[in-house]
Amino acid sequence: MPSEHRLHPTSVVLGFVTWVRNLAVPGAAMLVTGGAAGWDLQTIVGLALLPAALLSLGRYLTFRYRYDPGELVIRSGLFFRNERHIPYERIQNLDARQGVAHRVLRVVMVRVETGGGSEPEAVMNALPWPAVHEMRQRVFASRAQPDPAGEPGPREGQAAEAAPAAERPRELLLLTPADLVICGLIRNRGVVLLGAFVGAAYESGIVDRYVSRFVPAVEPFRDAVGETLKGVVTRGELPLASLAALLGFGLAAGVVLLALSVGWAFVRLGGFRLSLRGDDLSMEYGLLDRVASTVPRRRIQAIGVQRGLIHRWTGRVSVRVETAAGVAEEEGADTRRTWMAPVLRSADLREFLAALLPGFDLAGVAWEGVAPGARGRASRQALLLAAVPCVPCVVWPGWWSAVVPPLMVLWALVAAHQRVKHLGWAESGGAVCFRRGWLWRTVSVVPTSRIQVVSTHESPFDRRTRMARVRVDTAGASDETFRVSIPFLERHVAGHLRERLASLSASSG
Amino acid sequence: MLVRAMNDDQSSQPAGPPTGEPGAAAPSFEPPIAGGQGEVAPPMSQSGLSDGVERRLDPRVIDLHRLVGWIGTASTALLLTTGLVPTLLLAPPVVSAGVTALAVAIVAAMAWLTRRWPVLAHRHASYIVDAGGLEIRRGVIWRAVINVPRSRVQHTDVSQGPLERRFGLGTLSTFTAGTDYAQVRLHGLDRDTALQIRDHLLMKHQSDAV
Repeated sequence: MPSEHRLHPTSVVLGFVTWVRNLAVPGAAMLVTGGAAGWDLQTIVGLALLPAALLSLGRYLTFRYRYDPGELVIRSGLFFRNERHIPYERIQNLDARQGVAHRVLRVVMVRVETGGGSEPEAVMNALPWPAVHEMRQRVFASRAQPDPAGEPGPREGQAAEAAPAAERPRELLLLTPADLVICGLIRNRGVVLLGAFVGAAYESGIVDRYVSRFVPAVEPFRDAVGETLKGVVTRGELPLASLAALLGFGLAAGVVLLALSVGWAFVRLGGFRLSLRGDDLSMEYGLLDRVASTVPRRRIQAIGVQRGLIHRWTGRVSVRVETAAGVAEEEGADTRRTWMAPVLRSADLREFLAALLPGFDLAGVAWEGVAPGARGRASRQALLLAAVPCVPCVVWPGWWSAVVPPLMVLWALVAAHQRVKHLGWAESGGAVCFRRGWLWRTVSVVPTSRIQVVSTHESPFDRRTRMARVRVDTAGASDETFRVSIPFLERHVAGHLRERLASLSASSG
Repeated sequence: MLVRAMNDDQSSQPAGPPTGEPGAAAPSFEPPIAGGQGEVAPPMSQSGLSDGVERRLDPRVIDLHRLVGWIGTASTALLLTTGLVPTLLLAPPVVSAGVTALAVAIVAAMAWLTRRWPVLAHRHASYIVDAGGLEIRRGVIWRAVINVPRSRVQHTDVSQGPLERRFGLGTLSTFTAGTDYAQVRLHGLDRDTALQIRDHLLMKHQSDAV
């Protein structure tokens, strides 16, 4: 009978800390309101924290796991007893996370994830490092994975101790601080952070308490801004000094937001390292909350490569990957399972994609264009869209009626032309590729073995111009980046592509 | 690929205007695409359904959709009438005339659609079953051809609503691991045909291809 293991004793404290953190915001609210109602601190502590302590102690005492020949068995619960059997080959990922508290206590929170659903099958908070290594070894033994001999080192890419296995880990990507700065600029999470901060401040009552101090300073400023803007819009004045001041203030605010974004990137993705071991891609990242997770290569459903303006100015691309593991549930969801390369040098893209998809060569893809009539159709669509802001210009005439419509028409024509110019598709090398976008360029790559359903669609406008749209459905195409929906194809081309993809997926079962 | 076939079967159901006789169809397959020009189909094999012939849906589905349409039209007419009565009593003549005209127009449009649309939809709907999988064509204004490879079928459903049961029809739902097409439905099949297609799709199912 395999021996049963328990969680590390510190899990009592960690579980308690997690509970307290979850209760922090309602607890603070209770403090603020309860203080007014005359409750004292001890009552509140007793009400909120005592059950949390009891629960985490109970969990520590009743949680047990063991390694059976083919599966991991987890038993937990005192009143409601639960025994969970997880076969090793169904385990796709053993996520190892360390918050600040975990690092101080030298333990790890492990999440066992299988191929479906949004919740991990088991969360073990916390285990010591030797137990984590043993788990990785036993679970991934069938894949002949070498095990990291020691703890993952600090970020600067120090070598893991040599594993005595046949397959050495191959490092695919290591983000430098410059890369992180670029990543922060691209993701631009500063606005979100600021919004969250303002929201939290408002909820906890800080704003109410301090607004009386700010209001005398803010009011005249707000009035001045309002006056200036009203003057520009309604009377056409251009007070240069005020506008320059406004612009300066806007720029300063923008710089602050950018700094916040870069800071976020460092905290969230600091020390990003991606390596390939056998068929598994291992990712490690995070400055405060350290995450180490694994994605099997064969679970990759689709790959999305993105290039925006900032990407182009800095010579980088972003690569995201959709796996069959379900939707991640937290705020940083898109950094958790789908980011393979937040930023990557464009020159390295070809080799990187070849590592993700063996046998795929980006440079060898024979891109094909869309039907010749696509430009006309795209222009008509764009002009229709451009007509929308022109309507108020006609209804309420003013100086803008002479400026806005020509600008919109020009923009529509240019955008349509560029859009069609950058549309392309290809079916080669065991994958379907689709590229689109002018300012924000996206390339989706779907391996033929991952295609689920292929369909062609004809709208009435398509029928008039003898075109069709081809859609390729995959598992987990939740994000637009991974969708393959090729418009403006000639009808016979669309039909051939559909039949070819269908027969390829039928034979690659 | 598409193979146009003559109907070897001795069932005499023409593939044209519906006759609405349940049970007139042969125990196996619906008649192939009208026109019948082109090569003759090879003799039906044991699993004769999966021969890549493009087939129409069962003509009884037209009556089913018409029945649903008439029910809808009747309920709309009833609703509008109950709404009209207070208008006629209270509103000035011009308004009540306009509203009555609008109500009559709506009901007339629905009645016309109920007569016309199921025939159109049936004419533009077909399916092909072959060794590779299932291909469905449907849509009158927005047309689609949906191809479900056999190796991608996770599981299938054959279901019957109460009205479908009355006409002896069934709906085949194929479930895949996709997102937009996680479930692909094929309405208006004879129930036995649906069961045969289901059996064909689920044979020799190996890896889950996800």
